[in-house]
Formats: sequence, structure tokens, C-alpha cells
Amino acid sequence: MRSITYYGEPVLREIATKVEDINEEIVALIEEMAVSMEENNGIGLAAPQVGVSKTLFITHAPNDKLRVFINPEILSTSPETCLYEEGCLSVPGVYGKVKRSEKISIQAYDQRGKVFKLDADGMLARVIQHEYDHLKGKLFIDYLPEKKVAKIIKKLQNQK
Amino acid sequence: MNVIFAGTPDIAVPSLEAAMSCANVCAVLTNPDSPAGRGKRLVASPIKTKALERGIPVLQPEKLDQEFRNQVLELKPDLLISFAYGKIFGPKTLSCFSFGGINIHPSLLPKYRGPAPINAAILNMDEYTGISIQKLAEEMDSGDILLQNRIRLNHDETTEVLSRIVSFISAEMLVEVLENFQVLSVKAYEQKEEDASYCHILKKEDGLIDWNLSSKEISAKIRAYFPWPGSFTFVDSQRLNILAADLIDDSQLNEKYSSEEAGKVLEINKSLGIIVKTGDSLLGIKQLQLHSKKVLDFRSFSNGFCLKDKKLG
Repeated sequence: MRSITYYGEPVLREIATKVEDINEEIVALIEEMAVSMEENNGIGLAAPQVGVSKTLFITHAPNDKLRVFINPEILSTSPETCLYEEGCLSVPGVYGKVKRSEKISIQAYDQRGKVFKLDADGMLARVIQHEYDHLKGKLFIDYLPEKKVAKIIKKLQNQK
Repeated sequence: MNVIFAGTPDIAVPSLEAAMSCANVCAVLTNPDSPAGRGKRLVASPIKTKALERGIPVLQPEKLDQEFRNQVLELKPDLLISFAYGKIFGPKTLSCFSFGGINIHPSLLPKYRGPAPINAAILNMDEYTGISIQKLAEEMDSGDILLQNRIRLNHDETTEVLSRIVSFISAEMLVEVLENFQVLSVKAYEQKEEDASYCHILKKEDGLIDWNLSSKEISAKIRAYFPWPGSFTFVDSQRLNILAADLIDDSQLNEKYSSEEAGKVLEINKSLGIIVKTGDSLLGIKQLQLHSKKVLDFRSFSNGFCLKDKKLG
């Protein structure tokens, strides 16, 4: 199991670099991330959230299996959007409604090094967009109104 | 790789298509056409329909006997893939395949061996269910596991919905197994016999609702038994089928009716449904059907039949 990195740690704001080789080390990282995600009842986890600035994330949405996305590229997003409350293991105790595309199409490599394309909707589409943002150094609170974010940051700093 | 795909219902159709995408499906094995509908016409299984559409030979033996095995041997198959076929394969049949057989079973084996694992996971309100791809063994659902994936449950899914989800995820997993067959065969691991549990064929009478149970348990049963065998209760000694019901998260309402008797219909609420007292709280019936009448939503139903103050059960 890997420990989660929290808001304020610079790795969460870095732009992650590509996974060059899907080797044993990466497979082990994925396995440890899966344990961390399930232990924390998360439905998605990106590598920067365990302190590794690599373009890799995993998801386990409701009514779905565990999915691994290495070097993902979102190919398209639907113009239709929806609003839903999100949270993040790296920003504990904070929730806020974020507008995301209802459907997306994504291409990535799995842990066996095979490229795949996936069309997702519903909760899976939302989780994928949330995790994909992590690889660009972006957090869900960046979408929330400024006033609310100021409050959240204050609260998070007090927690420390 | 030459494979024979054995399956019967809808849940196996995406897996048949997945098998065709990465192997040579030389024949499909499915149950004989069965009588259905009011006219009891013989109807082909969904797997047979798909196979004919894709031009694959179909085998529908009544018995897996020597004549059948001779037919199989002529096809020189490497692997048998089975998913909800409906018959058990003996060692003689499996020996016709150079790599033996594999089976898709929609549970986290060794949990829920047997014929109704999807219903069981919903009924027992499990946090996770899953899909296992196992080697076919002599004892039912006791083969070594090639691949297993967990599915997180949302606790609002019916067997109908979860079966559709399982059908698609199974197909993805089957591709993964076929593409990595050698590696996964070597890594296949034994099931822990001491953790094994079993589920049974569901019968119509299993659907009787006990209103003394908690709302969550009753909701789980209605979802687990939808669409088959269905859940029911009785009103004025008439059978009343309950197709959908929701939990009611309203502490004031719960408080108001806390001393009522389980099974009593308390009110017809425009948004919450037909509110019934359960063993611990309330349940809102949303869709129901009087014996031999049409399925109705609770509003239409209440226009013709007032359940208020009746005692169900």
C-alpha cells in the first residue's frame, strides 16, 4: 500500500511525465495503488496522489471493475455536461459540484502493455476526467467558485 | 486457436462476440430450442440467434453423449469456453479439447458456486461482487482461477441491470484471457475450498416478501429477484407482485409511523410511492401488479385500487 499525498504537496501540481516502459516496477506500483484506493474507499486514484509524477491512473467506479490507464489520451468529450458532487482522497473532507462531460472516449495502455480504447459514460466518465486532471496538475477544487476555494484552503491549512 | 463456445442466454452474447474477435469459433453449443410464450412456439436461444447471424455452426445436443463427442472431435477444437450453458461437462467431453475448457462465472469464486450468483450478491447486499474465469473442473465451479475481477456494487441495481453489466465486463475479461492464455494458465491458482459457498436455483415461491425484515433487506430482495422469479405479497388474499420499491430516507416520516405494524400500508405519497411499514422503517412501492393484471406504476395503480390501511402479507 502507498500513502496518499495531500493538498499542498507540490507533486499534485506537477505535470506528470509519460511511463516509458511498462515494467515490473510499474505493475507493482499499480497493485499498491489499487490497495490504497480500495482501503480508502476511493473510486479512482492517480499516480501523483501517491507521490509518483507519472501519467497513470486507476479507477473502480460503481458497477464496474478495476481499470488501469497508462499514458492516457482523452480522444473526445461530449458537448453534453452534467453537474455532480465530487471529492478527492488528496483533498479530504471537501466536496463540491463539478461540471464534466457526460460521455468521453479515451485511449490508454493497460498493465499488460496493450493499447485500448474505451467509451465511458455515467460515473466512470466522471472519474476518468477527474483522474486525468491529476496528470495535468489540476484538482477538482480548481473548478469551484473562488470564495469557496479560499474557505477550503483555510480549512485545509488549519487541519495541518 | 479453435474454440467451441457453449452458452444459452443473453448474458453470454457479448462474450461470444469477444471470442470471435480473437479466436476461431468453429461451433457454438447451446441448449435445444425451448417452448416460450402463450403459443409455446419453439424459440432459439440468444446464443443460437447470434451464431446463425454470424454464420457459425450450431450444436444443440439433448445429451453430451458419444455421438456428440464424435462431432466435436471432427472440429479439432483447442478450447471449450462456457458461460451459462445449462449442462455440465464430464471428463470425456473435456478431453476432446487439447487445452480443456474454461468457464465464466459471475461471482468472486469460491463464493457463490452454483446457478444464481448474481441474485445472491444483490440479495446479500455485498459490497463487491465479481466475475471469475476458471478452468473447467469435474466438481461444479471449483476450477483454478485464470482471472478474477471485482465489481463494486451500488446497492440500487437489479439482477437485470447487473446481468447486463456483467455481460459486457465478462466479454472484456474473456479477451484478456484468450490473448494471454499461456501466461494465465501457468499462473492459474486454486480456489480455497474452506471459503466456498453455494447458491441454489431460484423458485417462484422464494419471492414471498417478509415485511418484518428491514427495509434494506426487502429492497435487496426485490432487486435481486427482478425480473425473475419476482417478489410478491398478498392483499385481501390476492397475490400482489412488487416490481420496484425505494428506501425512504425521511426521519420525520419514520418517527410518525414508528409504532405501526409491519406490512401495513400507511399512505399513498405522490413522490415516495405507496408507503409500507417494514420491520425497521418504511419502504415506498413504486411499481406493482395485481395477479393476472397489468404492471402499473404506483400512481396508476392507486387510481384503480386503494391500498391505504390494508395489511400486506
